[in-house]
Amino acid sequence: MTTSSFFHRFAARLSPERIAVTLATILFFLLILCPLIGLSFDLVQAYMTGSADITSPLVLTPRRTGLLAASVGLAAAVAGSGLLIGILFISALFRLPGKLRYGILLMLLALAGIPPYIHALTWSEAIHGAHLIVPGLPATGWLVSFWVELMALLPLSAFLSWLAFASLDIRLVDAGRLVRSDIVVLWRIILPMAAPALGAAFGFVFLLCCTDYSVPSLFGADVYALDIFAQFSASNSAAEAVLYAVPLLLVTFLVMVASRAGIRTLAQTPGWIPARSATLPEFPGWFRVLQAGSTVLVAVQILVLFSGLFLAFESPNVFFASILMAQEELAYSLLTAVLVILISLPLALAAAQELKRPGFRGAAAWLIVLVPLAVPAPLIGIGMITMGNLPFFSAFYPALIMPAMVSVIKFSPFAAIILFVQMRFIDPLLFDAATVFAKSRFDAWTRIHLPLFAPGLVVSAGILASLTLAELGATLIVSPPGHATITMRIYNYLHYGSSSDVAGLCLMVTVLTLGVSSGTILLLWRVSRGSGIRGDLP
Amino acid sequence: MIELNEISKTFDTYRVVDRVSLTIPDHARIALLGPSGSGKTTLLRLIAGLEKPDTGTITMDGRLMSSPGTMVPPSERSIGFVFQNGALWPHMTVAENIRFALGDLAFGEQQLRTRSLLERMGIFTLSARYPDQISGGEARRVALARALAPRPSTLLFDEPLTSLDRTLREDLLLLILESVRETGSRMLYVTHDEYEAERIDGTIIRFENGTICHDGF
Repeated sequence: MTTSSFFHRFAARLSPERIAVTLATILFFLLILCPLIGLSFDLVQAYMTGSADITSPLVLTPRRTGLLAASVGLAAAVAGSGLLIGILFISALFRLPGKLRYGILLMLLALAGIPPYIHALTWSEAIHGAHLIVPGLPATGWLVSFWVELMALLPLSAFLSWLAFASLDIRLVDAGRLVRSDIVVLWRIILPMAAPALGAAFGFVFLLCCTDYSVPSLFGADVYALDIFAQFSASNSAAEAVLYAVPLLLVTFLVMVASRAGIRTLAQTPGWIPARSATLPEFPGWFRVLQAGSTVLVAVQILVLFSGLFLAFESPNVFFASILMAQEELAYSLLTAVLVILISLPLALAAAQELKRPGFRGAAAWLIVLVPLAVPAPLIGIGMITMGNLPFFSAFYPALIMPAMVSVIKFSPFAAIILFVQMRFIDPLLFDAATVFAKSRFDAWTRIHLPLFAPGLVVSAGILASLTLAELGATLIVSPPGHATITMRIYNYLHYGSSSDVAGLCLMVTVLTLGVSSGTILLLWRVSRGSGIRGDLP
Repeated sequence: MIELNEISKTFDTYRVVDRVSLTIPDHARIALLGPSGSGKTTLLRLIAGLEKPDTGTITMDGRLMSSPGTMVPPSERSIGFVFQNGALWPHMTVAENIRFALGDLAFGEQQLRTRSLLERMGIFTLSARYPDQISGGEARRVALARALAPRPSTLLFDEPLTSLDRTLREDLLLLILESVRETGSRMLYVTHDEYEAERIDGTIIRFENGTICHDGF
């Protein structure tokens, strides 16, 4: 190859589009690794200068060992029980007519976006009410934390169970139903085939539970993630906090790596939306009792959520007064959510292309994209502060947008995975046709690429907004003095405030979250023409 | 004898099977020939009990199997089904795929029957392999063995030779015909290939737009 032809080919590959995608991809992966990079710098610096005690945080005292075991046990119990109830509930749901079934699934999805601390409030009210009937019922502690966390994550667990079932090739289920009863087909065909996806769902719920402290801390259960925050508050040393977090990180990374293959398989499953059984499954009586039990639990969760908020709601005046009182926090939260969407979507769109790659590069991208899921929320906040305090970055430390940055780090990977899934529904020939027929690159992007990506972008935006509104663990650490999000305000009120103010704000956040979810679903319905999705939705 | 009486099935607003009446006598060999999307597969699925009819009835040997108000589960219809591309369970070995269809038999008998079917299909050496470790032609042989395993009174074939090369198709078609002859089951073979339909050497029924347009009886 001559030098000129090499440069010619190199220049030909350097299209503005390719440069933009490459830069956005690099930025995405750097950004989600930012907290870990910051923490690593601090750790090396502490080791070199001897400025922090880096040996004692590594010693696993009996208290820490017990705390770790209890935290991991809590997360495993919540994920396992949630999935079991979810599987039973979804298997019962398959008896319902298609439109009703999809309606319930969409409702579960909308409920999954409601922040856990709102469930904590409503369950707290319910437990206080139950005291009138059963006086000795515990109101705090590990058991109550388990129950509230389980119920808070139940809509998500049930929805993930449906995804796992829906990922199956229905012909393989039909082939089983021809020769064996439905219960045998469930045990021997459906569950083993759905096992990787169910495993991934278990890992996902486990990680959500293990890395967050908001619910247990409200019920007096001191989980390991909260202890990391406490360690940082006491020592003000990021290095000590990260070393303190190592045992939990080992567990969460192990679970994340184990779940990675399942999540990737689930995302690559050919047709998870249209899966359905044409004739109703017939299960034995004992199994139908279990299904009924799971349905009652899901119904109780929905009932407790809305009745709790309704009963705590004193009057419209109190409601509007609590909103007025928190209008600054509300504005800051909404602004943060918009910023997260604006930053995350272009980066996630570029990163989704990387997730499509086969071989080592694709595998590495999948591993990195799941890293934020395995890092406890306080550590993400601490890592970002440390990064911002590094000499090079401290000059332009973006204090006001730090809550947005931690949400981008935590949640933009979800957007990348959703966009990856959506891209698989698009025929690549449509892009080739756009290259041939569009007047310009801009024309191709605005009139072909973006409309085709629109369903994935809409869903991602909705999920990013819901999750950002609910984020607490990292935001609490990075929020600049004098600025708080609505979630921070509610969390503080849950400890110290009056119940009517808390209820008013929680009701507002619930309405906001359900509004975002409903808006997303409606918008998705409008923009999904020709994307391969619309025809499969009710 | 299987009797379909005024069977209809509609998906959304599209009537896929439209008031089909058909009698399939014992030991009959029928090829259901028609273009893609004509409703042939849906008709097979209705007979198998994988779809519920909107109108009409299906009876098998005098017993009502399907109607808008009655559905006998697929596993109680004594039906063997060979799906397009095999539909083998990926988490089971070849032998386990066949053994699963022999649920009522004692384990020893299951082993014996599985072995004899594997030998009959010429795939005994593959018994411990998983579906992703065998070829497309081998997968169809496993699917045929699985369909034959419970000695069903009716064998349904849904374009079982799709995407195979000519030599393989010929070999498998011979194997299918020999197997059906040996078992004495009635056979309903769905295809869009005129040559395959003629090779069945039985009755050819032409199916278009959800209805029978030529009854070969």
